[in-house]
Amino acid sequence: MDPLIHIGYHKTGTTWLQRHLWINGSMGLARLDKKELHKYFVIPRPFDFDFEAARKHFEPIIRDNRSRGLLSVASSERLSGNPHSGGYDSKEIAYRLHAAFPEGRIVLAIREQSAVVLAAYKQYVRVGGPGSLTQYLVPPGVWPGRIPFFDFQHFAYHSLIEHYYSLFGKERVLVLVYEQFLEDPQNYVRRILDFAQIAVNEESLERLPFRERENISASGVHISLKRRLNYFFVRDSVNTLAPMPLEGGNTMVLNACSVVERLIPAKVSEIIDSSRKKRVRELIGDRYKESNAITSELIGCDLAKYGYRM
Amino acid sequence: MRPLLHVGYHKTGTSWMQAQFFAHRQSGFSLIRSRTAEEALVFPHGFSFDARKTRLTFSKWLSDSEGEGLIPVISAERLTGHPDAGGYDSKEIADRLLAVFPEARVLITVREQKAIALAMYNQYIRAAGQCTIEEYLRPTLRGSTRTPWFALEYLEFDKCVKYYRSLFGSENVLVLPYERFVRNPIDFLHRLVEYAEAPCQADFISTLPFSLRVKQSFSSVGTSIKRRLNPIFVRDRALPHSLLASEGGNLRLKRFVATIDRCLPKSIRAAADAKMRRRIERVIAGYYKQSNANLQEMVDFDLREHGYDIEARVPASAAMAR
Repeated sequence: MDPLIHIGYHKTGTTWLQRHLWINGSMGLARLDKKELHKYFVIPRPFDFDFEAARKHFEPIIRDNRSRGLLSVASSERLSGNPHSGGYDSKEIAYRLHAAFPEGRIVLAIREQSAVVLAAYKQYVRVGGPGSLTQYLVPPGVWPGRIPFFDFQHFAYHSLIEHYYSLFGKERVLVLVYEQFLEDPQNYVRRILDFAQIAVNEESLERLPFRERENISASGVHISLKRRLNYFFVRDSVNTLAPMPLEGGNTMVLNACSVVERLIPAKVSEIIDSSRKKRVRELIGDRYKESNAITSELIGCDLAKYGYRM
Repeated sequence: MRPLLHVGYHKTGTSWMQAQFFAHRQSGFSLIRSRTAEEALVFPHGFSFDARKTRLTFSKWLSDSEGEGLIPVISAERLTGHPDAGGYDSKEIADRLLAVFPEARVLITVREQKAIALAMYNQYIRAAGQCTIEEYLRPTLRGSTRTPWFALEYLEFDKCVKYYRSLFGSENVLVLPYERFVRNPIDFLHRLVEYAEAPCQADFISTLPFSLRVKQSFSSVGTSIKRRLNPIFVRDRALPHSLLASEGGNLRLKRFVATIDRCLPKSIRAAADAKMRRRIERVIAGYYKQSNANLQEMVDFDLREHGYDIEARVPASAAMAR
């Protein structure tokens, strides 16, 4: 009865799954509306969550899907929190999901932290963030208690995994490693379908566009340029300042950056990217070693093999 | 000695109470620094918080208070969440408080919503804010689920009070209005002392400096000036890259604005303040009627008498006739 719930993390191939797998009727899957998921599970204020309302809304949709032989999938990376605000509500959302779908099955994907943190920063700039990499990762100001910003703790995966295990039971939580998707996407999808107890339709599986990439990471030049333009023109919840916000400003700025990017030798982007990667690794240091060791143990996978610091 | 948890709200005289009342042993209370409380109870990430360890950090203070016959009190308005982020963690903090101090009594101080919204906005501008009052109260930002900002729901006090009552028991949650403190602070503090069973010295309360203002606020003219200068001179977590920010920039800017404020004729400041109140009224008119009606059911003072916007009560006879 209860759906398959895919909670993220961000930047772990979620868009590919959403565009190619979760909506794939021939695989026996049907995706629930993301906006509705946010409306019932993310947006409600701390004292306002109503699990009965959520259940009442989704139940007929899930029943209808089932009558058509389809398993409903609730998929939104926002369900694991948002990196730009340190996943401040990831724990609460887990409680909410459990209250509404206690029999649900959870799919959660992780990714090596220096890669995911850099990808999160790039995403922050793409949506309108004006801060430098260091300002994003280590926000200035002495008092951390006002508004939640990026927090390294968000990517200490073991905490969220343990939390979901404790709520849903280990056997109902599948933790995937994004690097395995890059290595062998077909097997990755097969594992998801096995977990969802769906008989694999080999023909449909073969037809999936595994080589197609979604949300291709922006280049170093693009990011450097865009964050400076964001400062003036793009107003967003990650940039409330923007003294000259433009209607549709983000798209305009994205397009302008893409044009300029083409005029600058790719080598420049490579240098910027490599310097950012180095900076991220410096800032991360050893902070995830212990967490990764616990995660490895929890999910029964040697993460060191995929470049996770242990 | 059962601890007292004074959880806020912000802008309800908490600073005065902390500095002028709780901080003095004659009050019958033993106050712990609000920063210490925040570091232990608020700042830890959702997955890092450990109630047992947190209790240990307070154990010496609790036993010392016991030894001295004082009521341990935590008074930190941040415990009801932060207004600038819409109190996103207010529920979680309540859960943490219960886990650490299950035997505690709770004090929640509230204030009429239009007045408290203005005070919170002023505070936001004093810190580093740059939004207009309308943008602050009703943020219409893209990507609103990415980062939490102020939300009108934050001032629906009934929900917070109801939740605390469900955790600690209704007899262990006292709600007092800030307006009562303004009108009759002696009566307010006597009520508080009686509730907490604090051994307050007989004439201590009457000697307190009630006219002293702990935090001076800007007029709406000052607020408006500072709002425009913040993006240039103030560096903050929400404004990480101001153009000319420097160490101490905010302090200098505050002094500058305070000086301008002092030089302005009273009539201009009053007119600007009145205009600001009208703008707030336009944004939140009627929004809290139902919430205040719900709150009224849980408190022993008349909200309407204190100026709260509240759904008119239908007399029982009229309701029957309908």
